[in-house]
Amino acid sequence: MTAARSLALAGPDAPVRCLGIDLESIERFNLVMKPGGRAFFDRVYTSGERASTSGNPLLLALYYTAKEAVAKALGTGLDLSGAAAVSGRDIEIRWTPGEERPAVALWRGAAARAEQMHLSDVVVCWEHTPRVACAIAVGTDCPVLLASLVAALREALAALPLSGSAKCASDDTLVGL
Amino acid sequence: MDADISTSFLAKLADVFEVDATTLQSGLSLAERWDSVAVLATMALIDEQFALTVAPDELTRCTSVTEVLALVDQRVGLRSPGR
Repeated sequence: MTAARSLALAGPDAPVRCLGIDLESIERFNLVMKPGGRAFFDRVYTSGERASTSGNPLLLALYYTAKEAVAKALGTGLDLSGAAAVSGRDIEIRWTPGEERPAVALWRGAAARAEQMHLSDVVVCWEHTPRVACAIAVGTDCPVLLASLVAALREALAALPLSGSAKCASDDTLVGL
Repeated sequence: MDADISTSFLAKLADVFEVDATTLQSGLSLAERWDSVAVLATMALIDEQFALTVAPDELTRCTSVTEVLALVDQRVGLRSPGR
């Protein structure tokens, strides 16, 4: 992120109430198709997410980074122990191919935490390269800021030291899933 | 811990760390392998196999599979009647 963008986010009148970011290896989500990943799949993803991701590692990684980014924006991170009060299934990611970004529904601990923070909405933007999925969650509905965040995200992903043909994906890549 | 349960658990835990069960048990260091997916997947496995809830920091303190098994054994022991 450039210095100018950082200042825009951090200034006294900045529209960002909270922010979370997460980045994961897509290959890591092949785990879900193995016996050792079944419990993770069942406990972290909602039934709707399990159906819509269809075991696709890219979608599983994107949904997971979105959840983790939202959990970080809520100041907790994901947990299954109940200690942080926000579990994977408390943050539901909804996305239909063709949509620019996913919608977020908060339940139970996540909804309570958002209410505690007086947060009416959390917006998620996501991107991916062939190897890495990344998501940013922000407590804002400012379209200019969101566009700036997406640009910063693409910039950051493009700068990752990936070999071969790896480069930042466009929205068209997601649409084509 | 029952030998069958232990074998099944170790096989699944090996999936989480993307190694085979033999490598996992040969003293593989977990210290640098606890990413968020590994933590949540291990918590989910322990819950599934032993009906136990462990905290993320309890897991990330474990540097080997022996320590993970000791943590589970300790927690199973703590909930046994008469203890």
